[in-house]
Amino acid sequence: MENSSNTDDFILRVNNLKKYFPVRRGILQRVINHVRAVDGVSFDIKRRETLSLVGESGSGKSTVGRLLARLDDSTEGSIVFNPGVNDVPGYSVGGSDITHSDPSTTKALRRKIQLIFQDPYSSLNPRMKTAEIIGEPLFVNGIARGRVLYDKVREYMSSVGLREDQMFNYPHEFSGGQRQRIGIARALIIEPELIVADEPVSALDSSVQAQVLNLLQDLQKQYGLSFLFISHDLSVVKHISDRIAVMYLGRIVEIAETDELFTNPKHPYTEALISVAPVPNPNIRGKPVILQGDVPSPIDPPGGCAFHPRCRYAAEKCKTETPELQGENGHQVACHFSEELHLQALEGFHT
Amino acid sequence: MSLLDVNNLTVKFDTPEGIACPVDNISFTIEENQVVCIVGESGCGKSITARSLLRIVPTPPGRIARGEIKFSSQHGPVDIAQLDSNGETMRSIRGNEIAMIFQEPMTSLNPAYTIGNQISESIILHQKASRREAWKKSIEMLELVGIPSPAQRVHEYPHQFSGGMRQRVMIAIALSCRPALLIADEPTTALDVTVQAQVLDLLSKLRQENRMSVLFITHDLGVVAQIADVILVMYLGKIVEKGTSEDIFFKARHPYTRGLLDAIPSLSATQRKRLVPIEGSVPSSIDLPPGCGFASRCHLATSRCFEETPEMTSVSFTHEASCWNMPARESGDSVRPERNADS
Repeated sequence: MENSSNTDDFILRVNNLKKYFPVRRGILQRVINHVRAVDGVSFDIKRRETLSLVGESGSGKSTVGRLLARLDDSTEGSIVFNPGVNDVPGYSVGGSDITHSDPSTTKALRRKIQLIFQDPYSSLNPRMKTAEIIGEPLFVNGIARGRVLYDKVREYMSSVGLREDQMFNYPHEFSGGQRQRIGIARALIIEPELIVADEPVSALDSSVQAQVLNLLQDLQKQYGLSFLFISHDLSVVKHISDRIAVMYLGRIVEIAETDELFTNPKHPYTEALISVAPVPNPNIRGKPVILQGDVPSPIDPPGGCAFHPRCRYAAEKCKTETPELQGENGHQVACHFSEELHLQALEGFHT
Repeated sequence: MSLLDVNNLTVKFDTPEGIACPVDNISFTIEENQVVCIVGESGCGKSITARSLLRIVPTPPGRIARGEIKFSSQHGPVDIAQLDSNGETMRSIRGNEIAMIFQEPMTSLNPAYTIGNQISESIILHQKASRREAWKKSIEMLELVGIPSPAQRVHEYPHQFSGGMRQRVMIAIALSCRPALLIADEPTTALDVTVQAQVLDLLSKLRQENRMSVLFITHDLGVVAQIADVILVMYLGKIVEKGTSEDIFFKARHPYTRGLLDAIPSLSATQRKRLVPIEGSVPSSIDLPPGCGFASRCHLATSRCFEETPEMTSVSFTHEASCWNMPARESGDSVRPERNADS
């Protein structure tokens, strides 16, 4: 996407990113098809901004997160980290395309991009003590060891709201919310610039979810972090994001600033998502736009606009031509009829 | 008489660590054609409550220690708590007059049998129908829950269905004997939001057509607001507040209910306020200290809360809550209880 503002303001720029997973079959494991998990995604993230990816399962939102952190190799496209910065002393990753970085660059990059995972029960090693888990990134990267490392661990434990005397406890001694705090401390301890948070509160109970969301927002302010927040929960996303990108079958169908997206949705899929999100208020029983059927398989996505079989506005054109993501003032949408449709915004929402 | 009348139900689990009490002295009623929602966080006992009604709590370790579950069955009133869980009466109620759908549509169907087989099983069992009749009924049921080309899909296996479709099949099985009460335990939690909307829409349509009561269990207050007539808020095995959805969403009196409502980010909020979390986490239900279970996390707690367990007190005709620090009278909508409670 083209933006007139200075590239220094951006921490990450993703262009036409694709990830196809091969589908193999038979004794020779021949590749018979591809799962188009991510199929041409472009966006950028500003410094100190929270950009959210929303979508249903199979929309490719988690794969985008994994590609950014270089946990998977992308098939096509580019990811540029720190696009405006060419030489950051000590790091070879500024300004370069990291899509196919070599192992040493990737290692340096991981100091700058860290992940927070969904499931706090399976993302911590049950045989390691808290201090080892949180301190491991420092140790592995040769930043600190011994007393310095433990001091650092103590500092970060207190900033995520864990007690110092819990340093030598094992993960099973903590509740889900506390484990998620351990995961957050581990991600922050090597002072990254970008955090990819993949459904960080989905596995938590609602009372604990609020604790973790508040913590993430506080830490973002304190350390000047940028967030890529991946979630399926629109109310969480609305609460935490500056901008939101809605994904469907591996593509971004709409991207806009949070309030703009909710007051003025331009893609029929966004309209449907907003209308079916349960609002905890019995007086707002709006008119849900109930989509027929399920998300189609990304192995064989529908031609044209991938959303057309479930879209109530679909016309002949939608079956043949794939709409491009376009628009002005940061509100971009991939729909042939975005200007003609008058879509239902969030009920009871006033700015 | 109510369809279901639960009185002082207590379920205990004997575990190596001690006796846990996941359901602690709860009472509620379900009227005909009513949707009752149980809301609460994980571990609050909502699923065990539902399972006790069908007597499918594994025994041992679980046992109904006290209380009665009075159900108006077709053959007259029975107390489910007193029945033999594998006896003839219970088996004639389970799946027939009271049916249940579960959270995991992926694991609650048998992968080795066709969809048609699994739907006709309960029809043959409860309705004395022949295999051929049951099969015909299965196709009708699939059509009713909105599965396209049912005559063909009835021959397919669960793996050929998507998550939302499998949940529809579960609903078809549950409704095939026209139950008076449907228990739905987090039926949409594993589904995507657009599919969740389809399933909720289907459930409410079928409920109206069949004049069926529903006991709906969920942790999602948003879903509750869409469907509930009566809401029971559970915390640590106890019902802490019960009322109509108006009572709970606009006039909540228990600090836990208020806390839950403040803690969830709301789509309808006009500006982004900081969330107000409930501090701490749910304590273990083994060896609970005396007093109110919520006291350790409550910002209104006084010394009395740690000593005496509050009883359910009536707030209005439809609304009850159990808290020592509720204001004596209705003081207006969404006003927090005063903090200057005597301590």
